[in-house]
Amino acid sequence: MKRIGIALGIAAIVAIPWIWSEAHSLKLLTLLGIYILLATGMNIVWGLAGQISLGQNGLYAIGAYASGVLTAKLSLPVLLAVPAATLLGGLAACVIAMPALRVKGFYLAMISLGFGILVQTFAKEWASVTGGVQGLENIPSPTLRTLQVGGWRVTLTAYYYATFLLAGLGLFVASNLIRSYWGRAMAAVRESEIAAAAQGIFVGKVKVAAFVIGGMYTALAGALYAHQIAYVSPEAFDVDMAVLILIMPLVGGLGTLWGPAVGAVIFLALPELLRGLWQYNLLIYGIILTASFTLFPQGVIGRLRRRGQTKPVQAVTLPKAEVASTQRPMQSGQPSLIASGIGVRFGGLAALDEVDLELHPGRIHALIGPNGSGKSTLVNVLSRIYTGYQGTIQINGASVDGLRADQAARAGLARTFQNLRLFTDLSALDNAIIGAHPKFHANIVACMAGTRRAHQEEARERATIVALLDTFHLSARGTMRAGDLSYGDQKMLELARAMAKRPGLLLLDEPAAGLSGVEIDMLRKAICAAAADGVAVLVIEHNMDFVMGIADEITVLDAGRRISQGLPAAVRGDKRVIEAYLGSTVEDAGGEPPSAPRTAERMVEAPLASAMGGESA
Amino acid sequence: MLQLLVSGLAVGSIYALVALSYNAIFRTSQVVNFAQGELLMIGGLLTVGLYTWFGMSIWLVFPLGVGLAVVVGLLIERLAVRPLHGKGAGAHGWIVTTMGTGIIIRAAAFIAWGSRDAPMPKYLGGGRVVHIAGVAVSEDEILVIVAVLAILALLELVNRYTILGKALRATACDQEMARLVGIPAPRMVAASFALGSGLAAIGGILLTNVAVSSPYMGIDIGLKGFAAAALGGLGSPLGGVLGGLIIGVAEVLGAFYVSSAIKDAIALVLLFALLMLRPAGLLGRDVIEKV
Amino acid sequence: MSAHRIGRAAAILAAAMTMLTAGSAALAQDAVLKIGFVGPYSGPSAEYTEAGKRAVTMAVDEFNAAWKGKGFQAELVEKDDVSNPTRGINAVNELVSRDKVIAIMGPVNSGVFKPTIPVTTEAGLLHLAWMGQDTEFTRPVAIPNVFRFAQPNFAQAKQLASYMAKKKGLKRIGVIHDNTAYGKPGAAEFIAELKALGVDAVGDESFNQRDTDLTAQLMKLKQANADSILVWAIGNDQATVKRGMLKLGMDVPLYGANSMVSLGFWTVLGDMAKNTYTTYFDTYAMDTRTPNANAFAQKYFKRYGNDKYYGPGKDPYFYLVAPAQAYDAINATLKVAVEVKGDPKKMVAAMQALRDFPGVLGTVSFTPENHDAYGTASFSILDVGPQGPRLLETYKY
Repeated sequence: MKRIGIALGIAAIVAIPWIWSEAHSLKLLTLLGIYILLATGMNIVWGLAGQISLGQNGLYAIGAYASGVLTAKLSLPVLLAVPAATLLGGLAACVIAMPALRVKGFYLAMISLGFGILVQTFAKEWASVTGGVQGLENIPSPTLRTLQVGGWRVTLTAYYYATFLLAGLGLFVASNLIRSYWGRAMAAVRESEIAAAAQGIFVGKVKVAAFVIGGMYTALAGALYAHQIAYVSPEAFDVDMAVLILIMPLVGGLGTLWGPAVGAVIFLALPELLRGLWQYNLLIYGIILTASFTLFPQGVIGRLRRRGQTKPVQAVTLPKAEVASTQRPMQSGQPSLIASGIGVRFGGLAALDEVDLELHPGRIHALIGPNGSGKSTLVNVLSRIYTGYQGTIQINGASVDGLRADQAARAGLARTFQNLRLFTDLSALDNAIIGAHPKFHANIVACMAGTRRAHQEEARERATIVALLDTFHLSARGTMRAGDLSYGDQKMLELARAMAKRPGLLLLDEPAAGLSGVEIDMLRKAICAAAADGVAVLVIEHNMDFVMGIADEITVLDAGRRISQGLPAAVRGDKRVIEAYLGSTVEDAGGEPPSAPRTAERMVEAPLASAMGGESA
Repeated sequence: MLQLLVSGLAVGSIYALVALSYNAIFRTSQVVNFAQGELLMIGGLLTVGLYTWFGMSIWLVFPLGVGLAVVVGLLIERLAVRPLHGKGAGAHGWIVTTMGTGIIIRAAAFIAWGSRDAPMPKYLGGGRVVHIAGVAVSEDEILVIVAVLAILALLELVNRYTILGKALRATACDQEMARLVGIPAPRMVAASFALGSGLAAIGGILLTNVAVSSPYMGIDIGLKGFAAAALGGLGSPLGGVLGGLIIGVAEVLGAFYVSSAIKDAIALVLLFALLMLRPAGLLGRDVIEKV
Repeated sequence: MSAHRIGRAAAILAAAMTMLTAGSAALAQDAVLKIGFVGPYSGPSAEYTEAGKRAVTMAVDEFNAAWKGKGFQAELVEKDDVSNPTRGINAVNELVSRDKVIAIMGPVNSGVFKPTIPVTTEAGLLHLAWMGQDTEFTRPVAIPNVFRFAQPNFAQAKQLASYMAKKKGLKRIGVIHDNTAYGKPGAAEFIAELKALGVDAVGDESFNQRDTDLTAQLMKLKQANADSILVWAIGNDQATVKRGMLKLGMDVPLYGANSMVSLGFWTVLGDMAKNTYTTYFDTYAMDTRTPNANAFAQKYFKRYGNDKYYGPGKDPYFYLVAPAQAYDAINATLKVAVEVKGDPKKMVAAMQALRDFPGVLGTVSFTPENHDAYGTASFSILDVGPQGPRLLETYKY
């Protein structure tokens, strides 16, 4: 059915020049194709990868000038110049990508705005190449009947078809990208960079990829524009253009495939309908932008879509051999992780001080201690989110002190977060599949082209992850938006996401917090199953029942120091541990205590002892 | 050379003032108002327009100019910033909406102002030139530099030693917490917008005194003012002033010794370089995110 | 996405496309002579658009009154190009394809006019540069369909260079210009003319429009001991140059292209406008005026009173030349249109055959080589003082 819709659309595009064959209409429609490319490129950078770039007009200019100069001044054939301009745009996009690696949000917005202005300034000053303020003229163009391809003169109609062919190709590639693991990785980066890194996604690389791809789309649009209009000058690429590039995907539907195209149609038609002074046009753009996030945050396409579908995810049956193995290589005997002498300081505060820890495959190691004792900090250090620390860490015998968080994840380390860091806008299934990111190997070009191998890999992993979600009883809500799930489901989803990469090391930060009794049961089963499979597990928890129930070994932290370590029975009786949780004991105070405190102490001591799994009072 | 320095400081003072206006808003609301340049512009335009074509006295037009900017600033807060609170759109939300309001203001100014020309009002000094140490300094340049330093001092005093200042800073750190302590956070945010708009309008008035007024006035200076604020470290008023003066001087020196073509580019290149090396800015503090 | 929604999206797309192109109606075959008028309606050059529009509206009303019921009516189709070449090209495209005009006046800015030339040439449409002063429009070769009713840059450059170097003996001229398609080539032509007279400019500085501080550029010229400054820029930026000069104590004369004759310049500067000069049509400077010039001034005053182009006095002031250019351009066009009965394909040839047309600013004749309406004989040097421009002396290079 979908194919029928697309076929109809293609038929319409092919038929139109026969109905409206005037030059003006053809030029306008060609501009539509160009705008579709522009909007789609911006959508990849902003909608998909979440990088707000206000400098795409600079890349538009670079594409236009590059192709214009190559053909008008160097007499290169247009079939060489346009691809060259496209590649140049991708390269130039790296310039905006660089600050994007360091800064976010409004910093990036302002810098990219500055980039666009810089390109304009360049175009004005570098007159020997660009023609400066007087512009670059005599660009081979169908409008002036000067565009030739292989000896054949290109007509306006042919140019129109060529542009729409490229626009269609662009949409096809974008569709493949969005649905591939690369596209998911970009969406993950958009939702939470920290969580993305923890899934093995190299955030910097993904951002650069988004910028480069978006840049290529934009530059291609620029090259097509230059040849259509036969003349480029710096004014065409001013801030108003940056606004237009921004507003098209925004109104159409940020992050969707068809949103940019719809936006392109709207904003091509608007000046035509409004016929009035350009200033009134600008006023309307301003109003739309101001109202956008309050009135229609999802854009036109978002409104058309129905939200909150809860179709259960179809389990795709694949032959047994195809399903990716859930077995992990077991390395018994050798510790999975050795951390020695870990120390972390925040300003003057020592969050961790000389902490040692060892994790072994198949063993569940609990990390407990009062609030602020440094448990989360330790996990952050181990998962490489904090990189400034003293001491050494080894995973499977190899040092990981220089690794990034995503590299650690790819080395087999998975974790959950104390404050949930799900990719809230993505579906539950997508969240889990992103967890399996390190298992995907198809390169980005294959993903964009939609090769067989890429599709097969996708199908394989998908099947595996669906099965995984099943074990967590989440597959019924697989297509639901992660942010709409119940709290308990969300926590289980984070665990599923971590498990999806079939890790050798699993670090869980307060996984039981906020869970009901039934959910805690499920959690316990999942953790024990993982350990049975040979995973080395570290669990931070305050729930003593839970801890005593599953831990093979316990480490206790207090004020950044390790104050106790060993088997659960030993630790729970350790005076130092009790002291840390309750304050100083009677003995330390010295002298005969008044009777009231003794009673109180007994009242407290008994429940504590029982909670720690001791004999009932 | 000294002559250039003085010019640079005068130009930079306006950037500094704009940087202060960005900071005033950012410190309390964590929002960078993308319409800041336009607030400067309408404050300046209204003042010049009323003075020139209605012959009103400066004691009337200055407050009116500032007042208009403050009203518009409050509108921006109400329409473009407050509705986004808690919508989860993040920074992208208010970037787009404040940018939208800036565009509205600019378009409206174009429509209202049209193709008029306003004579240089000379309401702040008749352009008399004073010679100090062999350098020609015009009255209004001195005025601008002094005014900005005075405003900076005043702001710092208010921030550090008054309850209002502390309340504004508390809201900046944690809106929820501030509310719990009895500080009306939304009103504080609105107040910060009022303050920022007022400062921008003053900058606009100072600018109309030395330059030709037009609805285009706000675009470039908005960007350069932000560059100054970011250079100095967002959230640090002193840093913003420093950033503004640095950019102003760098521009003039660059135009003289290298080429006038790079004048506009300098602010941006400086910003680029700094944000790559030290994102927090010169006097800013690194923010550690709790994971 | 389901087919249902894709189909819907496709339908919306198709509907929108229909709306886009439905405006292109079938060919118009009335006796309405449609003339396009393109220019910026806001920004520093908007005053020229306004000047032209006032004159052209007056001319169209006169024409329609005279020709009512006699077979022809004129209609103006206006487009705003906001001084942006892309919008200018789009505007001209629309005028050519959709509005089906028989002639186009403008765009006003040279930088916007230039790229629209290929469009009108390809369509064979009459294209009038009633304000565009870029030399290339008519020299060295006349573009077949472009006719100019303005004071071309080359004439101004020659005039100023000759006056400054030969008549006033200024040898150390510092040049400063804005970074637009008007200022840059204009200044370059001036420097070339100077060189042809054996004089080298002592500096060539540029600035961006609306830049508020030109200290660096002016200081360089001051250090080069300039004995005069020539500025080639639009609008109020010229005032910024003058202010900057005064601040640095540069007490030397400032010369400018005819863009200096703009209301903005001397109202903005007031007293500070002393010692500033330019070149301009002297039609309204002379004590005795041609009958056509008088007639136009009277008609204009009757309709518009003391507006910014007529000036405050009883006598029209220099700026009335701007509307007059447009007036001549459209009247010549309408005359030619009546001759060819509104056939757009014959307009160009008919215009080129125009001989001895009685314009306000001079008698207009075109030849295949010369598409400049006013030749170069009627410019003079004006003193742009605090009271506005006054004739300084008549001069011909």
